[in-house]
Amino acid sequence: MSAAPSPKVETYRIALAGNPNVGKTALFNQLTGARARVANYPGTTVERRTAALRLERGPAELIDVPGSHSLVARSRDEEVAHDVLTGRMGGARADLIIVVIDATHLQKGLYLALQLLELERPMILALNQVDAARAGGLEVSAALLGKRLGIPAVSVSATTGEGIPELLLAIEAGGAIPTVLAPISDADAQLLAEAQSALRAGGHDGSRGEAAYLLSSASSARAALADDLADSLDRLVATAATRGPETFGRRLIAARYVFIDQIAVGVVTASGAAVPDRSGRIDRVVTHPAVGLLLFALATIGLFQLVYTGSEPLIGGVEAGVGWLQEWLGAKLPEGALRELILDGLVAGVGNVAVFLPQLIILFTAIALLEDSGYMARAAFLLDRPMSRVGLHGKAFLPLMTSFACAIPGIAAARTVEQPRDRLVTMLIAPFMSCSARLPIYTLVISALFASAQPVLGLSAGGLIMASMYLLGIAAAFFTAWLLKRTVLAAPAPPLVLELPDYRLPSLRGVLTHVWSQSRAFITQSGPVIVALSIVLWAAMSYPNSALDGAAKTAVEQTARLAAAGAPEPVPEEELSAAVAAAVAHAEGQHRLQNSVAGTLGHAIEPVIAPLGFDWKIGIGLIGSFAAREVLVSTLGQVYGVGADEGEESPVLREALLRETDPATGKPRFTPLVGVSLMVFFVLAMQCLSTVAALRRETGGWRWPLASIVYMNGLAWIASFATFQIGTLLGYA
Amino acid sequence: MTLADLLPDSPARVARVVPFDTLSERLMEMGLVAGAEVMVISPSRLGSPMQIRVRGYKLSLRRQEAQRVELAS
Repeated sequence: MSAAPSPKVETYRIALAGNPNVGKTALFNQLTGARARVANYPGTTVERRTAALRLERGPAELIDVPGSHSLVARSRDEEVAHDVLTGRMGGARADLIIVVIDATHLQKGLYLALQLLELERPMILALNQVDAARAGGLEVSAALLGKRLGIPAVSVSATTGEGIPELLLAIEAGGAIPTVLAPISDADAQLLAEAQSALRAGGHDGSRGEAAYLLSSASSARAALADDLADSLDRLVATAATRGPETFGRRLIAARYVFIDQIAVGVVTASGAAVPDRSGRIDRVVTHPAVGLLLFALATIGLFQLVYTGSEPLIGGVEAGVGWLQEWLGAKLPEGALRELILDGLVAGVGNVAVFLPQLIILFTAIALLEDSGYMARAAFLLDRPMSRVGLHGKAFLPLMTSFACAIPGIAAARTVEQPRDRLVTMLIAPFMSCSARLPIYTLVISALFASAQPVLGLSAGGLIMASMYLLGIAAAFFTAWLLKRTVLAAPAPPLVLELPDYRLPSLRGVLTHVWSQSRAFITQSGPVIVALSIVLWAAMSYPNSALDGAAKTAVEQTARLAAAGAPEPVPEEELSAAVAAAVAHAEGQHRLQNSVAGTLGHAIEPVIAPLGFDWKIGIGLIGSFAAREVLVSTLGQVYGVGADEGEESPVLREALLRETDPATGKPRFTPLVGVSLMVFFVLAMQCLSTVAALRRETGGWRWPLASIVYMNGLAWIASFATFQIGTLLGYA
Repeated sequence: MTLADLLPDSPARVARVVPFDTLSERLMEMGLVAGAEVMVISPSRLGSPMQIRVRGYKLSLRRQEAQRVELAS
């Protein structure tokens, strides 16, 4: 069956491939003017950056292939790189491959280049950072390299723009199909040729690269093929194993490096006095076991401060803006359900998204600076020892640190962790770090219940309780990492084979591009989920809309008037009616909340939370806090009828909490033990829908976010239960 | 002798990387093949990873990974 002729011109697919840290993304930006579209590869968290390129030959698309050291996939990034280049990942293989090599690290780049040559697709070599090489006293000849590899080669500098027009011309010309391959023994060549013809007979591409990949990979890579093809390849692998002490894959790696040594002869010439190794000098201090750790601690504290306090005025601005918008719209819209939906559901939901942006933007900027300067690799190096104790990689530290401010950027920062399982563990434990949204709850409970507690060893009891809540979160995170690494996500502690790239001054454009694409991805991918869930929560707390009956209303009015009558000085009539109206509005709000879906749920979950020391009122607060934890304070304000505007420092709310008594026993409801139990619950519970949305985005499905909800809330329940019950037994109730 | 025992600033040549598994292949792909020149920049201190130079770039490995790299005498 022949395919119908396509009415549309096929898009010419150009893949930009190279090692990590070779300035590939900077080159991508130079070629496309940074108009990248960022998405994830299907089912992965690996970013897919593409941009349209205008060529004379027709529409073209430039694909930024994830940086990799090798085409043999050992990490998610490398797997995606391999699949994009060979067309296993959605659609056709690349029509043209541009391999980017760092002129200052020629040999390592050439290794990947040789593997790419084996794919036998049209290719171009872009020798990047020639300016940096020149500054280091090295002249690298692109022409000679190109001649030896049999493909067009262009010297470029992605930082200065040097050589970009020449590269575009080479792209127009379409590159050349490589013919030069690393020499291997006749016996191995024979094996490869047999594998290639078997693949071609099976309807495959049959390039040397494909054959080499399948012969040197584990048998699982061949299992995806048709049975007879897999069998014949398995036989070839078995034959290869008898041909010498080394495996086929190892012989191939060695052969490529032998060839690299030949290619590189005469390509690099000293063009001046050698420049002293600046990065080496910096590293002597920065990676020192003591000084380096101290510097790292200062850097993270600085970063934390910046994310936490630097964003405060901006967050205030966002909140003020949302408040202004609600007021402005409130004045324009007619009263009714639609107005409430727009103001308290939609606008508040959009506000819930926008409120994270200041922190995210500051954090993304800091991460981009740390990554691009080369410091991130050093941080991973320094923290490798402590992190490897719980089976994680040094790179997992930063996301956890960030999560003390907010788990959303923390989860996004977990992308720097390479191994997929370790990245997942990191994302799953990040929400245990006490984020800034838990702080108001700790503040409210501690100031209400422990303000008069005796200092311990000269330290305030409140401060100690606060610190133990933070420590509890850290302990839970490390315990969970340890548990996950031994059970469902069992994997050996990731090996550390970490390149320490030369230090480099980050470019403004590179950093801005990074921040922009990351922020946009958050808005477009997590945003809609957060808005939708905010609307659902608003509806649950507002409906069914039950009005206060006449008698109850009259009672409220009378109480308010009586209170006014009791005042030492007579209250003017307009003030009195305003106070009465406010009291009625309060009572109505309270009544509506209590009888809403959320209120009903609060009653419904009371049996479940009663063993933790919580009644249905706290239950409503807990449900409300699923929009965002800090909502607990305003929800409690509504439930206890002191108004939603009372903050965590409010004496009114504090007193309302202390006044509350258990209707059955007449004893105070809010004892210090209940307060501790509530804080423990907040430390451990997964209550933040925005975090759930971020987890869904990063893991590409609902499985892990749901597992996280069950696990964290289960753990929170057990811990609070233990706290309250043991505390009661010890007589603290 | 393995790379883990090599003294700083004294160049040596790789003999082979053992055992035959994917991690060893990864180390080889990073340039640690037979005949490659390696040098330790900073050894493992207090259990921290070590830093080596191979093929003109800097690589960081844990001691246990460096023990896989046998050196030519």
